[in-house]
Amino acid sequence: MWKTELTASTDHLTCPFCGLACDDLQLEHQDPNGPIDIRNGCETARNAFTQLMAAETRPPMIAGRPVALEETLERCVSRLREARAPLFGGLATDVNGMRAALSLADQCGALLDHVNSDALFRNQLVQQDSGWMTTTLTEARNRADLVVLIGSQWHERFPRLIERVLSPPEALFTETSERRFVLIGPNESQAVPAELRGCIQNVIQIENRQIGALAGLLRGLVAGRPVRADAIPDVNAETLLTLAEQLKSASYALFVWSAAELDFPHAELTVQALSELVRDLNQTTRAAALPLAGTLGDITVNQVCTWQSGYPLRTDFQQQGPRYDPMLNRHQDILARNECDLLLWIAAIPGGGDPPSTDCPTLVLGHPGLLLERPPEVFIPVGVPGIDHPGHWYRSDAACPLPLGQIRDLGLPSVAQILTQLGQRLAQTAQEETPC
Amino acid sequence: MSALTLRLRECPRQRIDLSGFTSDALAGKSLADIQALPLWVGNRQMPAGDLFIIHGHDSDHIRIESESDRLDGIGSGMTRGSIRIQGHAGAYLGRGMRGGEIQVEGDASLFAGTGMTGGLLRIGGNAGDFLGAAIPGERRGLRGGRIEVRGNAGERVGDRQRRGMILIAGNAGDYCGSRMGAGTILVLGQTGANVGFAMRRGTILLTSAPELPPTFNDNGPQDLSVLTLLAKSLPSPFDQIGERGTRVQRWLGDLGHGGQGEVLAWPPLT
Amino acid sequence: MLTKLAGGRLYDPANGIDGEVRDLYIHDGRILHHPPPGETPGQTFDLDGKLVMAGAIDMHTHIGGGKVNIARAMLPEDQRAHRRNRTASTRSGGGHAAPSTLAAGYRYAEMGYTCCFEPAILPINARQSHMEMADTPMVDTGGYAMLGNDDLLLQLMSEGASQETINDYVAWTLHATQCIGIKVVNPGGINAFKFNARTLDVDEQHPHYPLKPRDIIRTLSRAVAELGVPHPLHVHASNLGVPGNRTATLATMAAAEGFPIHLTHIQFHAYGTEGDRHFSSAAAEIAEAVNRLKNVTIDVGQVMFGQTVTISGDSMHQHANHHHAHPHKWTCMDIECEAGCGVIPFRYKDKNFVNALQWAIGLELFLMVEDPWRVFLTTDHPNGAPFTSYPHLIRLLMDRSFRNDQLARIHPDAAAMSLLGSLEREYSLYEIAIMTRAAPARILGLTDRGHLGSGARADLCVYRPSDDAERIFSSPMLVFKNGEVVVEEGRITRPLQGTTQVVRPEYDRAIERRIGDWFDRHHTVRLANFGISDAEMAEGIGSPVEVHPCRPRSVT
Repeated sequence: MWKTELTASTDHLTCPFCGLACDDLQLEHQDPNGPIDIRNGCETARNAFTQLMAAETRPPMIAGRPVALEETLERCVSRLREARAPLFGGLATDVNGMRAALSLADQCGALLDHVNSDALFRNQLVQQDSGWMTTTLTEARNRADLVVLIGSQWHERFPRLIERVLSPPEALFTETSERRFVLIGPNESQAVPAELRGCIQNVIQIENRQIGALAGLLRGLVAGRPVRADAIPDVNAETLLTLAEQLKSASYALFVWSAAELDFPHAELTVQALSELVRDLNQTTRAAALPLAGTLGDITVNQVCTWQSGYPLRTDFQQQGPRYDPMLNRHQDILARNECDLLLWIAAIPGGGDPPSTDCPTLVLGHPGLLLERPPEVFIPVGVPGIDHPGHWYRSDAACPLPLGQIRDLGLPSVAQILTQLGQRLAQTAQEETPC
Repeated sequence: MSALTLRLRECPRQRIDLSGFTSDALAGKSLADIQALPLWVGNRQMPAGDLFIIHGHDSDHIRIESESDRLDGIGSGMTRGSIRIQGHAGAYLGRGMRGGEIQVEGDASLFAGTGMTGGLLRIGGNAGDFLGAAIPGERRGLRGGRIEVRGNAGERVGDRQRRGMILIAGNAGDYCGSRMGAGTILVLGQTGANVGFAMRRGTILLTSAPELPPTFNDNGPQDLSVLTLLAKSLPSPFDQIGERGTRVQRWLGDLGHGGQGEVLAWPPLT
Repeated sequence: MLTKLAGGRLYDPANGIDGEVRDLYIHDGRILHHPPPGETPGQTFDLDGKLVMAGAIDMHTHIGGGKVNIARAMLPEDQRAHRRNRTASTRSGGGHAAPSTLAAGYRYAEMGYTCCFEPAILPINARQSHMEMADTPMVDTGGYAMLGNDDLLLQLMSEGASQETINDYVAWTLHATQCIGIKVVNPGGINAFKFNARTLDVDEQHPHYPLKPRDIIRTLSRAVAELGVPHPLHVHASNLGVPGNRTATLATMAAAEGFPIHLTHIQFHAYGTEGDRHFSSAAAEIAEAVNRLKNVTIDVGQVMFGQTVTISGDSMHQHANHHHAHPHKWTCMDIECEAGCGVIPFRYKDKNFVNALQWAIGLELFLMVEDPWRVFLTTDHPNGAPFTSYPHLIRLLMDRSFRNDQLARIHPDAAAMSLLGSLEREYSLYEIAIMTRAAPARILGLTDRGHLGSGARADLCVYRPSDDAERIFSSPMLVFKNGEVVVEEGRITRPLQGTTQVVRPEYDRAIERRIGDWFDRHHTVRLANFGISDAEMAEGIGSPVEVHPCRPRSVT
C-alpha cells in the first residue's frame, strides 16, 4: 500500500531484499524509537529489516570527513561537470531513483550499469536474440504440474519460493500434492530442501556448466531427433528419456532458474537452450520458463531504463542520445580498462558489496549501514526504499511492480531527491556559463 | 598519391568511434575538411585533427597508426578502398563492410567482421571474442566476404555466422562456431570447449579433435575430395591444409537444436 | 494572461463548426469565445485562415506497460536505427516501432496529439502502464483495464454470480487500476490457451470453465453499461487474424445484445475465405453491420507497409502466428491468472498478397462505414503501423487519386480482390476532425476536450492548409496544451507532463471481501497492495488523476 504517512502496523509490508518481493510481511513498530517486530518474512528479510533499522546513520562525508550535505552536493556537481565518461553504477535503487538517474545520465552523458547486470544479461540477451515464453508467480503457483528446478541455489537465493509458489496450501488447477519436481544441477541429495522432498521425482546431478548441453539433449529427445540419450557421462539415459516423455505429457511444465547462479562465461547460451526447449514443448502442450531475478533491483532499474531510453542497462548517453552495448559497456570492464573518469555508485539497498575499487573519483549514495573499506571522495547517506521512503519495486517476473512503504523518518533524502537536486544544479551552472 | 594517414597522437582513455572514416565517407573531402570532422571521445567532441596527425591525399587508401585498442568501428560499412592499420584496432572492426580490404598488423578487439557482407578483413595479430559474430539483437553475424586471423581468436567465433569464411591460423577459444547458420570456419590451431554449440548449418574445419556438445553424432571417417579444391582456393598460410589430404573425421550437429552442420577434423600430421 | 487566436478557420464538429473563420481566446487553460470583460490579450496569433482543431485524441495506442517494454527490449536494432538526440529542452530516446516513452510523447505532440489511451492494461501491471504513461510527456493519458480472461471473473461467472456482483467487480477493477474503460481481449481465449486450447470461437466452450466467449461479452458489456461508464466495452474479438473471422466478428457484435460495444482494430477481424488463397475481404459485410447496429463503434487498426512490431494481450493468436515473425524472434507470456501477452516483430510488404489485402481492407472499412462519429482512426500502434503513419493515412482517406496511386503499387491480385478502387469517397477535414478529436472525446466521456467550445480545455492545434493532407497533419504550426504553446513548427518548445483520465463508478464495497478471499487463497500479491491510490498516482507514479463523470448506475 502506498502511503505518505509512516506505517506503524501492517500485515502487507513489501520486502525489497530479494526478487520475490513478498508483500505479506507483518510489521509492528508502535514506538518509533523502539525495535521493530517483523513476522512472516524469511530470515533474510527479518535480518535485513532489523539490521537496517538499527544501523547508525552516518553523516555526509568528503574523503571520510563529515561535512554538510550542501558541500557534498557541490562537489558532486563539480565532478559531474568535468567528467568525460561518468559511470553510474550499483543502481540498487527503486523506480524513482532510477528515473532520476536516467535524467541525470542524459544530462551528463553518462553510462549506466547495475551491480548485478551479469546475471540480468544472461536472460536479457536471450530475449533480444530469440525471445522466450515465460510465466509469472501466480500462474506458476496455480498451474504447474511438473517443475524443473535448474541449479542448486534457487532456494537460498529465493527463500520463500517453495512456500509461496512451488508448494502452496492449494492451487487452482492442479493438486499441489501431486506436483512433481525434477532437480537438475549440482545438487547433493542431502541438500535438497525438506519441504520438497516428498514430491521429488528426480535429481539429475550435473555441473551448471553442462546444463546447456543437457538442455540441447532434451530438445533433441523431445523432438525425436537421433541424439544419444547416454551422451552425457554420469547422466542416466533412462532418466532423460523418461523426463522427455513427461515434459511432453505435462499440462504445464515449468522451468525455474536463477541466472545469477549460472555464473560462467556465455551462460546466455544455456538460458537460450532452456528457453528453446520450453518453446518446443509449446508446440503440443503448455510449458513456460520462470527466470528468478530481481535481486537488488536489477529488474526494477532495467524496466525503467528500457522504457525511458528504449534500451536495457549498459546504455550510455555520451553522444547526445542513448547507445546500448552489453559487451563493451559492462561496468567491470569499463573500470578495468580505466575508461571511466568518474564513478557514481548507488547502493540504497544493502547486499551489493562495496563499490569497485578504482582510481577515478567515486561518489557514493549509500544506505545508512554502508561501511566502506576506503572512504570515497563523496559519501551521501540515503534512505532505503521501503524503510525510509515509499517507492516502487519490481518482482522477479517483471510483470508486477509493488508499492513499498515507509517505516521511519530520519530525514534521510532518497536517491531520487539527491539526483534530482544534482540535475537541477547542473542545469543552473550550465545556464550561468552560457554567454549571453 | 600518398595514402591518407591518421596517426593517433596519444592513446585515448575513452573509446573513439571512427566509423565515419572510410573511403566512401571521405571521398572528395579536403584535408582541412577531414581534420575538422568531429569525433566523439567520451561525452565530448573534438576535431579529428586534435586526436590524429593527418596527412596524405588518397582517401581510397587509408592508413591508421595506433597503439590503442579503443579505436572502434574502423571500416564500418565500407564498400571499396583499403584501410591499413599499423598497430591495433578496437571493437567492431569492419562492421557491415561490403567490399574493399582492411588489414590490421596487430590485434582487433570484440566483434571484428560483424555483419560483414563482402570484402577482405585481415588481422595480423589476435582477434577478440565474437569474431564474425552477430551483435545482440541482430540475427546474423558474418554474411559474406572473408576474415583471416594470423594469431589467435577469442571465444564465440562465428556466432550466428550466415555465410562467408573465417580463417584462423592460431587457436580459437570456447564455443567456436556457436549457433552458426552457414559458412565456413577453419582453425589451424586448437579449439576450446563446446565447438559448434547450437550450430544449425555450416562447416567447421579443424586440425585437432574437437570438444563437442553431446548432441553431435560421429559420422566416422570420410573422404572429401572437395577439401583439395578448398585448399587450393585459400591464401597462405591456410592453403597448408592441402598437405593434410582429404580424409577427415566428420561429426554432424547440433542435433539437439535440429542442426545439420558439420565439424571436420584432420588427424594429426605424423 | 489572455491569448487571442485571430482569424483561424475552425473545425469543431462537436459544436457543428465546419471551417468557419472565427476568433478564439485562451484564458487560464480554457478556451473562450469572447475575452473576459475588461481584459485585453497579452499575446495574439494572427492565423490568417490557418486550420484550427482541438488537440487530437488517440483512443487506442500501445504506449505503456510490460508488453510494450518487452517490445522495446527485444528490438535494439529498431532503437539503433531511430535515435532521437537530446536538445536543450527535450531528453533523448528513440525507436520507431516501439519508441521509448519520451520519444513517443514528443512525437505525438509534434503531430498535434494531446491525449492518448493505452488500451490493454493488465490490472497487476497497471502501475507500470501508468508509470510509462507518466514518463510520456506532453500528452494526457488513460487506459482500459483488461478483464474477461481473469480466472476470478470466469470463476464468478461459472458460479452463477449475479450481474450486480459482476458489476461491483468491474467497478472495483476500474478504481483499483485507475482506468477509464474496460477491455476484453480474445474473451476467454487467452485463458483457454493456458489450458492448451489453440482456438476459442465465440460459441465454443472454454476447456475448463462452463462458459463461452459470447457469455463474457454479454456480461461485461452489460456491466459497463449498467455502471454508467461512458466508454463501451472495448473488444479485441475472438479469432484475431484468422481467415473467415468475419463470422466471429459479427457474432461478437450480436453478443452484446444491444449494449454499447466497441470493436477494436476491426481490420484484423474482417477477413473472409474466398479466392484461391482462401483469404478475402469481408469489409463490406462488416461495414454494413456497423452501419446498421447503432450500438457498435469501431476503430480500424489500419496496416501500413514497413517494419513494425505486434504487441498484444492475445497470447493465443500471437503464439499461433509466431512463424510470421520478422525478424524471427518472439515472446509470449502467461500473466498472473489475469491474461497474457505476445510480442512479435512483423514486416508488412506491399508485394505480399495477404499484407496488401489487409491494407486495402482497412481503407475499405474507413470508406464504407458511413458515420464518422462511430469509426476512429487508429493503426493499433504499433500492430498495424507506428502512429507516425497517421498523416499518411489521413491523406489516403482524403485524396482518392493518391489512394489509387498507392493501390496500383500493391500486389495486383490483392488489388483485384478489393473494392477499394471503386470507392470514391474522400473524407473532408470536418470528418477527419470528428474521427480524430470529437468522436474519441465523446466515446470516452471526456466532455472537456476534443472540441473548441467555450470552457473547453485549451488543447488545440493550428495547421497550415495544404493540398497534401499528409503535410497538414505531419507538422502543426502550433500546438497548445492546457492553454500554453508547447509545439511550434513541429518542434517541442515547452515540455510538460500530463494527467491520467479515470472514471469512478459506484460500487458496493462488499465485493472486496470476495476478491480478498480469492487473493488470499490463490494470488501471490496481497489485495491491500494491489490497488493504486490517488496519492500514489500523484507522488509515486507521477501522474495526478482527473476523474470524469459516469452516468448514474442502473439495472437493465
